[in-house]
Amino acid sequence: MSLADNVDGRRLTAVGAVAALPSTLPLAARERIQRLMIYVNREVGGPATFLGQAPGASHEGWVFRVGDAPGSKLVVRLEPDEGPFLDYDGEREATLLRRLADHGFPVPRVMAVGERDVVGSRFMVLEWIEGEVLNPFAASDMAPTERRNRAEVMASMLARLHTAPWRTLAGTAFTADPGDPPEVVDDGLDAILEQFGRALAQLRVVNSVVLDFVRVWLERHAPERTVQQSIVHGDFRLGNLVWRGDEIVGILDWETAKVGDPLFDVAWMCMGATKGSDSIMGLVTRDEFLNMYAEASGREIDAADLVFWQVVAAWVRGCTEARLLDISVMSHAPPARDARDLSWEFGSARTEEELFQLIDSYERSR
Amino acid sequence: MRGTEPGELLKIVVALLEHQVLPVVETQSGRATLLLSIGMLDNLAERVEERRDLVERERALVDALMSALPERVRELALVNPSGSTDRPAPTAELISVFRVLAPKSTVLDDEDTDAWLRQCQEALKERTRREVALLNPTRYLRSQNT
Repeated sequence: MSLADNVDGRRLTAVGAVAALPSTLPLAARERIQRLMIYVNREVGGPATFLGQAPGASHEGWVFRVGDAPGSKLVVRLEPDEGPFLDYDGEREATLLRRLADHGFPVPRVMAVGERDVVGSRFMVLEWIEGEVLNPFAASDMAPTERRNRAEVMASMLARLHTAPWRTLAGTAFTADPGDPPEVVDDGLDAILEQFGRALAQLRVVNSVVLDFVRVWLERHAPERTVQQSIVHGDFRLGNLVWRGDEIVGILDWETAKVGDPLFDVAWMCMGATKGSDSIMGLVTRDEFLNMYAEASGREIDAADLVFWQVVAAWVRGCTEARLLDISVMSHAPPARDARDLSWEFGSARTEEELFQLIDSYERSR
Repeated sequence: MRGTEPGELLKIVVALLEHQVLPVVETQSGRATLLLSIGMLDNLAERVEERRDLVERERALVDALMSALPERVRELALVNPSGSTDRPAPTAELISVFRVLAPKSTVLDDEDTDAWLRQCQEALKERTRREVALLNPTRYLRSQNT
């Protein structure tokens, strides 16, 4: 991932006119950027230079440089009015990030948390971490030894997160009921089912019959699982990791983090892999990754529990896809359907196919 | 052309473009653009006919599942008896039944409910299989991807 250190070769001051920002940006965005530059100048210190839009689809984000020192980039990430995630709490995420940083995890430093009076949405100012973000397609071009090494590093980082003291890291902000005695174990499944069930109920045009069926299936089979807890990232994958050489120097996008079953993160990494021989993000097979994680964490993975959480993860992905498609369709005048619609339909049909493959696999294992 | 099904009409157009227009296009860019257009039309031709069949099959599937609904679930979901003319769209009705069952309903423990849900599972799995088969690339997209 790289970002140019200037926009059209111009440096903009914190009090630069809206007209000085790229004209390709909508006027409303330029006004928000202008206000954010003033905020950054005041709260973080130093004249802010606008560099461009931040990567990622779930949040509006803008990248600035503050001061002249190298590596002084930061990202301002706005909370969405309507996006893929319900129940998002920016303050909770900021608290978790600060505690993770205190415990030595490579996460962006929280520099400030802004309120709605600045740009109409709450936002977070985060340190920009320099490095490389890989995509699964690039991974498949690597030598086998490099792919294996990166998979081991990811497994180790995930295991480190899952074995960290979650009560200390999460405090009371993430637990379903802070008043519960310590022996009550809540792996967050009920909250996931409730949150994404609500997302399905809010769909206006997208057909969710398979997703609604799978929710019932999850309720029926939930009592069969072993319940455990840890800090769960919620979206741990290559696209949210910053590398420098063969070291992870940044874990990004903690907006879906929670206290839950660590197998959710493992299952999320195994997305699309319905068999042990299937590839994980172009790196290693699912079975190889599970062995790496088990060795790094010291935990044995129950095969049926893993597949159960793979169903949960695929269902969450399906609900998110449906919500994004529904928002997209309803945000325009009724469009004529064209060939590009095929990609959406194909994606949701493949998710549904994966769900049924995993369900079959689970039921054979019981 | 009167009475020709939409999918057949598209296939006629694809054949005309492929066998009468494409041979006389001389430039490489022109041929590439025309092949892309032929591919899109060819893909659409397959889908127009199959999509209509799929919609009819889905309607039949949902009607069969709703007819087989156990009485206790029917009462819980306040579903109209079969044959009533005052019913919402079939898929929406099935979805509403699932949403009544989802939040840990005690009805999930019933044997009849369990059997019905297994019937739903098999029916929806088959529906999904047909949907994925329909959406696989047709001959032009396959050749362009190889």
